[in-house]
Amino acid sequence: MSRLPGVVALVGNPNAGKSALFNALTGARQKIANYPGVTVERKAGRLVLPNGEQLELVDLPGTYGLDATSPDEEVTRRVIMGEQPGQAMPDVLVCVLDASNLEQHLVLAQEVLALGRPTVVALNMVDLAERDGLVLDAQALAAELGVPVVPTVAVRRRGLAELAQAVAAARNRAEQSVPKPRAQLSGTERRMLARTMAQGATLSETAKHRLHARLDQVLLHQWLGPVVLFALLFVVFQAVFSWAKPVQDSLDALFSGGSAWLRAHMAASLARDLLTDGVIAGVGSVVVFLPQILVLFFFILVMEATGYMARAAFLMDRMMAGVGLSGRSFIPLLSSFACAVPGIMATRSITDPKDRLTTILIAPMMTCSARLPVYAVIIAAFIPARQVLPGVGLQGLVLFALYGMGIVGAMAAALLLRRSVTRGAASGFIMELPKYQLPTVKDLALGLYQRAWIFLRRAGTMIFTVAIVLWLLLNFPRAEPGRDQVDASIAGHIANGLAVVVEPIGFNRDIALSLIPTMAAREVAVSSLATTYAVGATDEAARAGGLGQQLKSHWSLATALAFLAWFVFAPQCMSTIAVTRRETNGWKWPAFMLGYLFGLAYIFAGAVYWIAVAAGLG
Amino acid sequence: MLVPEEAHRLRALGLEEGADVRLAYRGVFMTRDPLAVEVGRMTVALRRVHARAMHVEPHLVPA
Repeated sequence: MSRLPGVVALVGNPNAGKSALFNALTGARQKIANYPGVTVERKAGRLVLPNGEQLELVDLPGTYGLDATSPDEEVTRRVIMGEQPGQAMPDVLVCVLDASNLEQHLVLAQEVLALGRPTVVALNMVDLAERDGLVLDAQALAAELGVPVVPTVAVRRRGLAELAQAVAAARNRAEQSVPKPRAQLSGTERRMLARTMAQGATLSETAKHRLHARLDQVLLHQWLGPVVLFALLFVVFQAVFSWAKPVQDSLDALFSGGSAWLRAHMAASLARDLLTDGVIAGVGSVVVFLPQILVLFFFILVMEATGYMARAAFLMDRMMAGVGLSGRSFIPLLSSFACAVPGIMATRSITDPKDRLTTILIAPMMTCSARLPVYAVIIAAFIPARQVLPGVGLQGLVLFALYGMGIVGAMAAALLLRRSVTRGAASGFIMELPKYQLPTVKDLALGLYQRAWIFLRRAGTMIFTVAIVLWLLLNFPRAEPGRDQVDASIAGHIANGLAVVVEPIGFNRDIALSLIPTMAAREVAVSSLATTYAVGATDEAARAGGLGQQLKSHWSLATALAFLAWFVFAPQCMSTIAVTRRETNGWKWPAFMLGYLFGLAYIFAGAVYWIAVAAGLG
Repeated sequence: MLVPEEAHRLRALGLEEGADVRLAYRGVFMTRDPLAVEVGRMTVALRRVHARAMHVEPHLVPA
């Protein structure tokens, strides 16, 4: 994309509707990557000018000013100044303003305009301003600012052509003259000027009962607020299981059908086994969890897009303060229920460094969706589907307990970490509560599509490779006729060594074997157990019995419970370690994370195993 | 006392000298912390410790 003849950057406060405008201008063809050296997401797409020419459009992280305090804001400042390595200096800046909050958004606009660069102002969300009873004069504002002002409604695609036109004009003007930089003003002076300009651009203002005030009376209510939040979280986790189930079952049927078809139509050979036992068993058992991940991300995206996520942070702040964190940590931790990698990346919005580090260190304990496959398989095989209370099943209860253990463990760890290795000043909580908005289907669909793609790419590359490598390690060298294939294989020998270490916590050789590839990604545990038992299965009947039957015949209940406890804490995911290294700029903290989480996992799995054995479940 | 970054962030959100503010919501039961403050057309969440560091003069809102 760097071959495009020019760069246009979107700049604005958080909640200016920048991303919606970016989606509307570029459509689904977006390129998401990271800026080199930092994990700040770089979103780029194509902006088509009226004459058909295409420019690269970059969506910069939202910022309140050019005197950056967080890594996100620092990237925005550097890109605008042309100091960001690997990013050409933008030819035109598009300053995105929330039309209904000009006195705030014009502060940043003045800072940007003072740079004297070709700039266009997008007066965004004018429909919401009108809903609030605010009628604005874009021409008056343009005269005041000295740059073109284009009213836009990103979600209704209003003003997009005019904006592209203004960008084209600003780009052509660039060589000749740019608006004169204003004198250097202080922040307070800019704010006063912003208020005057906002008043000057306001044609009429009728005090209407604003929707968000009425919603907040309920959602931020001291008693109702938390009740609604927890009810919502309950619905989210219910939906993750029940909505995804039918799709999941059909995906599962598709993979086993494909596997059966190959068995029927291909001559028995190592190549056929590689396809069925390695590729399909391995990748298929992971891909079936895509529906659940999408349902969870759907709710997180909706909560973010509607503005509710900030309210959730507000409600959770007091509780988080109890363990030395702030409400801001709630958002990354909630995202970590989907995956710790985006969760850890979302900690960038936490301004206090000690706060942020603590959140990073405990994020892997939130039960990510990659653990779901593991939990689901083990629970289905070992926990009877019995009703404990009307409407409450034992299986669901165990799953709930596993999530709970992760949360309690994370909170306890935060408390201890804040008193030891991440000790520092008490963290603050300062954040804007954005206006409520209806999310658009298109923006949600785009967000979901991007998550699904990232997940499938992972399944298609890393998990695919791991599945094949494991299959090879399990199948070579070949066992002599009549001897067990797993025992003879390379993987079997490695696992025998590891088994000595994990035997005290009730793990057998097969589990030790599955722990090795699981370092790549947790969900691989299921596929590697599937592969192990598929390779080990001597007859077709055992193969057809499925993984659940195989597990039941090889594991005791105590072992299964210890295995579940292990997965609550074990940092079994290279991507998490890698992103932690990147976010903390070194190996110190990821090494610490590995150590303390493996320690916790070992102790907890051991405790669960021995308690279960003592209770007669061995 | 606020650390400089906190003061910086509060200013960036419009909590500056001369700003008109209205206390809109107080947090969950027991401690009623954090607070939600309306400043201009924005609602900003902050903790009581931040509020304590500000000098606020009450004035009557015309009915």
